[in-house]
Amino acid sequence: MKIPVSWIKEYIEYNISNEKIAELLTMAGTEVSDIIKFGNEWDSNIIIGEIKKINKHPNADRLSLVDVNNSHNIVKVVCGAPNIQVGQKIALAQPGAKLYNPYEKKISVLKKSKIRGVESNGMICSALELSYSDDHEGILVLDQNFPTGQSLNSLLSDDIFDFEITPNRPDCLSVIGIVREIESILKAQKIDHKIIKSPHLFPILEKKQIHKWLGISAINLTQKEKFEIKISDNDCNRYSGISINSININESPFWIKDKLIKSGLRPISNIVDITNFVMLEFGQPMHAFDLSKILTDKIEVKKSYKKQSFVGLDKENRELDDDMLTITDGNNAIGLAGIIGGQNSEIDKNTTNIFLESASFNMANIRQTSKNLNLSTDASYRFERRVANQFTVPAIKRAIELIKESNEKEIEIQGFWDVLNNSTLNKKELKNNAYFTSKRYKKIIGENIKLTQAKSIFQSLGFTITKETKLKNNDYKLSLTIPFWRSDIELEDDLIEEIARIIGYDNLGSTPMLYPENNVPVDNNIQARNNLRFEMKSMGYLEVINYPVLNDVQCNATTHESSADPIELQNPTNQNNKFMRPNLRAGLIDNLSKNAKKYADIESWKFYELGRTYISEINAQFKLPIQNYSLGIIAAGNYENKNWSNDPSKLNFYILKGHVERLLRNLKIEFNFSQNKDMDFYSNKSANIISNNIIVGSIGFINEKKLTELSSKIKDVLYAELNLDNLLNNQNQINKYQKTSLYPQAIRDLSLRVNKNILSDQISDIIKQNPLVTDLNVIDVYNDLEPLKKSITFRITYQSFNETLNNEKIDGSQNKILKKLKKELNIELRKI
Amino acid sequence: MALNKNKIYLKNLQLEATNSIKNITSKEEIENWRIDYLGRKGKISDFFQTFKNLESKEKNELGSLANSIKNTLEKLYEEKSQLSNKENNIKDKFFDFTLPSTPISTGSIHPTNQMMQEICAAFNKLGFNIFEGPEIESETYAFDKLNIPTNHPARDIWDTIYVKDVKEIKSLVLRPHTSPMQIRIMENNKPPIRVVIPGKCYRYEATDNTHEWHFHQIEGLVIDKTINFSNMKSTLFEFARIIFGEDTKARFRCDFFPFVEPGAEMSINFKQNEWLELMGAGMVHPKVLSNVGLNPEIYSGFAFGLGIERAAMIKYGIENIRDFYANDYQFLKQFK
Repeated sequence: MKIPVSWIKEYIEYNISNEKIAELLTMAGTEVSDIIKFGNEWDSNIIIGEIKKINKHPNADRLSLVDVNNSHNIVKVVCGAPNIQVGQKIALAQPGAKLYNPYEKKISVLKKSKIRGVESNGMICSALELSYSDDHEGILVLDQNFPTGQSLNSLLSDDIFDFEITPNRPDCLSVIGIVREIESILKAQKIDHKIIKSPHLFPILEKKQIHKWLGISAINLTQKEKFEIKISDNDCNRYSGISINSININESPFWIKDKLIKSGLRPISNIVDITNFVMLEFGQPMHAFDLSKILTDKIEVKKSYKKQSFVGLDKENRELDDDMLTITDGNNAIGLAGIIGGQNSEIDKNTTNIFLESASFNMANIRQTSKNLNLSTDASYRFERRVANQFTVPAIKRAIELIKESNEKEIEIQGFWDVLNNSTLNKKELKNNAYFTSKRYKKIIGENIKLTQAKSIFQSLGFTITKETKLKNNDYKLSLTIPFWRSDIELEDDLIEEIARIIGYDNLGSTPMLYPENNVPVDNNIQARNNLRFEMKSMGYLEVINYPVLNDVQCNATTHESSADPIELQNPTNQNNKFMRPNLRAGLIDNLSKNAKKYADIESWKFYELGRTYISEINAQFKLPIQNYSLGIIAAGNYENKNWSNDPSKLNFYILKGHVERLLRNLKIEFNFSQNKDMDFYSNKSANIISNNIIVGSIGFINEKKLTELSSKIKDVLYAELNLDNLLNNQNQINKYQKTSLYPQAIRDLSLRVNKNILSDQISDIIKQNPLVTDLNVIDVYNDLEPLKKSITFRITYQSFNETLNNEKIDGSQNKILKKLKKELNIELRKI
Repeated sequence: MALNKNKIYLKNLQLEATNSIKNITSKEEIENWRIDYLGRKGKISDFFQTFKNLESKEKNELGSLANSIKNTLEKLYEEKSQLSNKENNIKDKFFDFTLPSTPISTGSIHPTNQMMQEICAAFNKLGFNIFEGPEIESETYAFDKLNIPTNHPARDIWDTIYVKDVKEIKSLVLRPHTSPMQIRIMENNKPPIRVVIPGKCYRYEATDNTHEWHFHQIEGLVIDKTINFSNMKSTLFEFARIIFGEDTKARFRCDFFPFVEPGAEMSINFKQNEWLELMGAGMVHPKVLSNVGLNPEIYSGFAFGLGIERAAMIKYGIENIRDFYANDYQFLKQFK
């Protein structure tokens, strides 16, 4: 919301800079996000001129040669605008002035020049050329009272505050709301200021008084008998209105247009501009109907029906639902309550009789309609945040003042209506009392507040103190009436915030907490996940974080047909990526192929992601879908990048297996590998990772077919994924200390000739059963000449805790091992 | 006569050769010396050429003498050239330690997670435990229990991504903030509570330099019988000093979040004399306490939330939030 400072200053005077006021407002909760220096660029070459005479340009039909008084002399200026008239005050740009050139779309310096053979001593500016507004239809006609010769800057430049008003403070969505805030802040901070016009409106509900206050005589209200206003729905709290005859629809006076433009609104016509003016000033949206277009002599506020069609002032035809509040003539909708007027009752050039609406609606209904129709207006923005019903009549009063001031003829007020919906109003009006205690303030804020200070702040904010009670220990209690515009004040803590924010949070104390007690348990898995990150980093992997969503192709390529459907989003930010990932595969493959394409010089690729995966099964404890952590690892190319000093090998299954084993060993988890029978995502060079008898992960080369499906150009990609939640619950299984032996080790190699389909683990399991074997490694594997056989050489470490082993003992053990191997796997020593 | 003359010649030859080799150093000179005395057309060979004119007795005597001289000189040559090789080696001892090392890739932790670890560690130091919670969350926890009613304009603060029903579970959202965990923590733990909850959040929002639909937050919650606003100021200020340095200044201004009252926002100022908004905070709203069954007359506390990416952008000087999740090699490898 934009408000020019000049408008604020019509209400309150102070002697501090706009920057300082903006800071004070921001600190107290009314954020000024920007101060726009409006008209800052107008230099002394742009002055007020008066058009004295208009002659035809001798060489061009559409141009005029205008005599302009610049207060020193008459200058001749060539002008092509259609709207020039003798007597107008205009902005005269003299040579040297910096102006916006709409044709070149940039700022340029004006030079004295000849236009069609006639010298022009300057230019009469349009609003666009001055960057005043986007109007370039004709020249900007200024206020008749502007003194000729004075700089435009001194008369029209302004600082404009751009506010970010929080949703709890609809009362600040107006000039008077902001002035109220400034007044209380300046009071509390003891900064000199003077109220010029009170921002506090005192609404009266008594009908006779209203007439007197509005300055209208009930006797003259001739239309009253035949015109009826009816509230037929509880979503309308109050409906006030006035009908006026003898209106001239015209342009608004300059000062009204100026305020609208600076507040970011486009001037339309005098009556529409006045409704907008009142909305900006008081926060009460208004609407003007052409009375002659309401043929039924009736206004009824009621809900729409299903599939009702409605054409708004924006000429758009919308289909309504059955719960939208409309303003009707009894039959047809003439307005969408609180949002937009209807085209069928729109003010036009020929309008003479108008009906001005000033009403209050249920905020939730307006918000819902606005959301459902995707239509947000300045009016709906205010109504959905709540407009107090007490504003309807003061807004009408203000509108009458403004119409009287700007209408050419004497206006005739024909009727005044003020219909209250007692069933809704009584409920709301009851809750206007609250109390404040010094004790609660101390509990919440941590320090005392003096009675005099609290009272003064409340009063400056418009609260009335109805009762003051002194309690023991210097404590006190204040009973307060909440000002009607502060719908956000409900509990005592809301009042505490009022005091604290007006004093300024920065002026409140700061005290460290005592040493903590804490009942929240420590989650060891968080630390474990961070440790995994450090491990992955130290093994040379780069961490990625992917959006956890997949498109159709990714989803099909990375999930198994038999697995459950993935979780789907209702309104994804990108329609294609609507599935929540059930694993980390697609993201990592994408990271690898994109980077490999971009960085051709890199030969070794290693990425990992540690993030959640989402499964459409329900976690019984939380009644939410399962969303566990996984660790995904992807690698391709060489083990390392190559340079002069090394000759790196290509990454293979066993390197990645080593990395995975290192992670698992660090977590002190017991594990083994099993055959991967699902060859969908992986190639045959793959395995499952088992811990505690369940599959906790998988590892292997990705099936080339899958890479093609995902349009990845890179080949021989290794991948592993570990389900961390299953895994981390098995942490710290191995934690046994083993004694060291005092006796020397003996090393023996054992070369075996075995069938190809025997796993090395099957052999080593047998070897390890021998009590003297303390360590075991495979040092050689090669395929035999005979196609179904292979040779494996094991290096076995023998050691005893009791004695130094002699050859006899070692040979004995080795023979036992060989016997067992022969018996169980039909394995024999290799004959060289 | 001839015998003696030849003997003297040989002795002189030996003397001359031994003397001349003493003063030479370069490989080339040594080689020349060898050719001069021991080469096929060298002085020793020349001498043997004169033998055919001699008697056999003389031949024998001079022959053995010449051979012994030849051996002596050969030995000299060997010694000298070995010595010279050694000297040359000392000159070759130049070692280029600036050649690139054998590549051992370093790896990285994503800047978001680094910042998260750092922030968690800071709060851990201040006595907070770390906890996590679900990303797919129920609307009740994301809004209602946090005093954000349906159809209230306050809901506009969070543009929300909704999740289609999963089996019988309805009204699911991708959590738009980490605040639902305030409720879950208070429902499951009796005060005193002191916890921070890091995690991913999502908003239905267009992405630009400073906005991401997918981002990370850390939520904080303290509940006890004597916790007040002044404790909140002190704790959050201390946190800012741990992360951004001892000289960091902090300021608090009034702000609005439906689940706190009074509500605040903390800005920090740590190098450029510029105030940067860092986090929202406030005293836990009495309605929120009542919603989890805590008596607001007895218990009070504060809550806060900050964006991890924003903190990382401030700290590392990253200008575009979109860089975080483009997962570009050159970006990632900087965060060792």
